[in-house]
Amino acid sequence: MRAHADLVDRLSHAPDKSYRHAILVDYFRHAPSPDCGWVAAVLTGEIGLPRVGPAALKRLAAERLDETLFTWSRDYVGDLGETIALLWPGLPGGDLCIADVVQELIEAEKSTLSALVANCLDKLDTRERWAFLRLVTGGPRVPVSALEVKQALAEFGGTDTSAVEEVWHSLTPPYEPLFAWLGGRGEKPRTGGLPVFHPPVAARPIEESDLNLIESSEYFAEWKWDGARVQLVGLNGARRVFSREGDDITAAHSELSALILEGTVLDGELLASGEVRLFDILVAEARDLRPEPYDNRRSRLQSHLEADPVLKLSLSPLLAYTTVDDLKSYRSRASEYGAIGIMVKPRHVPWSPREDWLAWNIDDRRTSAVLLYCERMRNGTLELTLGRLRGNALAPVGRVRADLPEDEMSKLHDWISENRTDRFGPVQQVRPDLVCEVAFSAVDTATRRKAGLVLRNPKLLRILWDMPADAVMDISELTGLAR
Amino acid sequence: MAARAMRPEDWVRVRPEGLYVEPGNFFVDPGRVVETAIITHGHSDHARAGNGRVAATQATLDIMTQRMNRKPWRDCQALAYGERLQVGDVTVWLAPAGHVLGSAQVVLEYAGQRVVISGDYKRQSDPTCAAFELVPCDVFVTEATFGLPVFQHPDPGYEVTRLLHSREIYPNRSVVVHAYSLGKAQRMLALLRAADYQRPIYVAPIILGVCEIYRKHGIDLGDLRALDQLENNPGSEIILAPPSKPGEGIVGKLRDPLIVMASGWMTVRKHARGRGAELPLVISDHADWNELVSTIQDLAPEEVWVTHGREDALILQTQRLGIKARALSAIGNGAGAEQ
Repeated sequence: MRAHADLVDRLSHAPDKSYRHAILVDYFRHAPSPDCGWVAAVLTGEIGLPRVGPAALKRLAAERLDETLFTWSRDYVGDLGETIALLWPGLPGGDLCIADVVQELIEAEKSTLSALVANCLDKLDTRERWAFLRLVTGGPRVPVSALEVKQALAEFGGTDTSAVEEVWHSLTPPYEPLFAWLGGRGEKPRTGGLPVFHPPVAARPIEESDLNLIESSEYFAEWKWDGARVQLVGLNGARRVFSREGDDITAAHSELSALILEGTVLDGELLASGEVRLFDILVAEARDLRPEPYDNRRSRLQSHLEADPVLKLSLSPLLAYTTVDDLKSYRSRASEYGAIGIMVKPRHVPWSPREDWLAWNIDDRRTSAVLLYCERMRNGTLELTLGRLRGNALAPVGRVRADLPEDEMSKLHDWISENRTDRFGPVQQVRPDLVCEVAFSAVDTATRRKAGLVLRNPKLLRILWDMPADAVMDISELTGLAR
Repeated sequence: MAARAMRPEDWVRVRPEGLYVEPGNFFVDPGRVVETAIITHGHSDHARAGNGRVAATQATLDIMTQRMNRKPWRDCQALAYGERLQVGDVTVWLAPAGHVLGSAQVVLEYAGQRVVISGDYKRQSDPTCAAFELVPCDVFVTEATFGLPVFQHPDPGYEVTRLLHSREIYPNRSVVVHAYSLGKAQRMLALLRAADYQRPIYVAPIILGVCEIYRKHGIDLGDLRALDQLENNPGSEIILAPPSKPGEGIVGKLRDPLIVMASGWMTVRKHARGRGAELPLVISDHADWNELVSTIQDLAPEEVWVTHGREDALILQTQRLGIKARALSAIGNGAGAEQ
């Protein structure tokens, strides 16, 4: 498991996507089959491994590790799995192969899982134990998406991502024919034409310099919907719903999949209402439209939807504009339309996996709220619960991480220790006297909360040390924004 | 008052200046300026400038002379490992500690008792300094930098393999290894050479100066170049520099370098993240938990005094071995006042 542990360790420290790509390509170049196939299956989430919860981990620790030293170590390290990985009396490692470990885990009975975990830990070195525990604790595993894994496979094999997708979905782990083909040891496997994910056009945030280039003859403008990107695929008699990252989410969206027409691949945004706003068509009547410019694809999409109107599937309308100022005005009114900004898309370019589309989100809103509770998290960060006055009672409206410069953090810690009024385990209650400024993207109605609402994506901007708390107490300003 | 045998804490104790040896009227690694000092090794938290008389190994004296801006002492005396020196009523000699070039344990003999002060030490093999030697004693004063069982240092050879593998992953990124200029930097160089990396290695000026001392003491570290010989686009060359803030120093001038940190602290992921290491390597010049405990086991002294790090866990584990143990900071606070 050495190569796998090294892979996971490198990925976890890699600062961005291009580095993760290089790390993955390198891994696939060196790892033997079937190890590479099982690792690809795990990284893409294609196979579910049984999970060992914190309670079971603590039992293992209690059975095998010294109680006092374990407690002190955990206080120092913070993370339970990492502490066990560091303390477990293991071996030099390098003997166990990831393919065997994953298969044993898949086949493990619930009753024997703990013993299997202990048995594996015994044969692994520190870094391997850490990577192994991440496999079985089901926490945030590795910061890579299914799409990134397939892009790396494509580069390793000198082919394109769509070809990898096509073959991928026709095989099951550990995908040995796929790796034989990518490694130049075999023919391209015949796929039998199963429906596969087609990477959609990616978007990036708009920049100031882009604004000069935008003209309505060159660019379409559309709403940027507040939802989740989905791809609806109907090919060769089967229907699938995929997420933005290429994860198969058909099971969770069976109603939606029933609406997909044979021979089409549609790209759109799934809204909270269950409706899909469509903006691209990649395949129509079993013909690949990706070489065609976006202009043509949108026309095809429109006629496709007109030919077979379905309530839940609608066309994302174009926004008529002449100047960039018109776009700014749309953007400022986006939330009235249930959108979070606008999208600007070049009309005359064919499909490409590059970031061709430009997202122009509405700015975060700002407000202030009063600090009610602080919670020290296991990883050492501090979470703050902020509130407003509703009627006579203070009601929490959101929770933010205290991510401030060092001197502000120490000032905050001092303030908390001087103003603590109560303590519930790791949570400290403070006098409601400190005002924090936060950014948020929207206000959601939340009938089961005391405040009746909750801030979406709140982020702490700064602490307003001198602002009197009673100046910001009332909640009504936020209630007006809720939807 | 009934007569009783003299105990080690009657003649070795902690004073504000540092660890004080009364019958010789001298200090070991004092934190403040004193008249007479024995220095275990050249790191700045052990070796300070301005003392009157200083005794240490020749290598440590050389390192102090080079690293200190002002005159490091009034008089100095070089001691070879094993060479006896009489200071007052105390016989002093040095034994290798395996930490960095010239590092020593200080052996104190008085009234039929022997106290050994480990200074910083390690048991892992290291071609850049003499290997740690076990000196049987009544009291062993041990460091405890990594005195928690989470610290179990892996094979440094494998860690260096990982570093070299990064050059294959990123053929166009220079590799900046952050390592302390005395000891760790030279160890990294030796490990790279042992892994058959024979290309020139570019090193910061402060490291180059220390490497020169190592070379004089017979440690060859291969082809080393000053940073200004680095080309504009250094490809995947390896660069050694002391830790610096992001964007500062040499790192600030390179485009897209891979930041490698080599330290025992890299064991714990939050430290690696906190210091911005993209490739954290666990390579240390301090004893890890197993070395600390097994050294105490091997020596089986009457008593262990623990200093310099996380004391509680090591004290507990030593007591479990049936050996008396306490924090060094507790020695001399009242205990030595009985006359």
